[in-house]
Amino acid sequence: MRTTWLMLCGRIMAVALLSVAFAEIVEAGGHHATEKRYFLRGRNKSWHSGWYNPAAGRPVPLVVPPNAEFVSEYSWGVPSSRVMPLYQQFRKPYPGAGYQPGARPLMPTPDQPSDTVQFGVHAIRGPWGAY
Amino acid sequence: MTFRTSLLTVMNGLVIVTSLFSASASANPINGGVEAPTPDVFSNYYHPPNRAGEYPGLGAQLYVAPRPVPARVGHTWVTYPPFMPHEFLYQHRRRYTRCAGATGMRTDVRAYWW
Repeated sequence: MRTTWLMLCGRIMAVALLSVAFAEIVEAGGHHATEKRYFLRGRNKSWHSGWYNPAAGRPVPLVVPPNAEFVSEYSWGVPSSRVMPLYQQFRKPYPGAGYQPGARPLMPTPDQPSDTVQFGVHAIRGPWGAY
Repeated sequence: MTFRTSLLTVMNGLVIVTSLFSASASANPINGGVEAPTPDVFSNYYHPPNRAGEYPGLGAQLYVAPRPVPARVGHTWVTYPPFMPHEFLYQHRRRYTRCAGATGMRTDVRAYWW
């Protein structure tokens, strides 16, 4: 009787072990790996586009929670929406001067916008706060 | 399967499951984990200016103040960092620790945002 109960416990343990191992494999490094991947891919990318917000006179950052991963953008045409990874995040060390000259000036929102990017409001993830 | 073998199997499974759960529950200080250094009350958060293709790049900062200024200029600072608005953007918890020097004592603050 006791042996049967122990075998049942062993099977439950085995199932739990397999499920935990499966979850670990699916997560593949988990939060740490995602954070590192997002950091590396967002390093040399701009948080804004070629358009600026006319009301502010410059591109406007929109702070979103740090655990946001994607941002949706909408436009005319087909496909009329796209889901983009949101790599940009506010970080601690002061990066230096806040301007890099470009070959062409930024453009204001056109009179008849065809894409939400043209409004010049772009999401940046807020900091985790611990660093 | 003898009683001893079954017992060993159960105990081994228990040890492995415990280690797996503890590994996934451990906090890392560089990913928004629980343990954090004492925050600086004079700091701000920034995004560096990277050019958008051939267009110029502008930097962004999270708060309008404090800005990096010389030491002789007046400063703005946040007196209680756990109340900073960006901490309320997501559900998390943190433990702030400040050691009391050679006395060996320390003060712990456990903060929860939810």
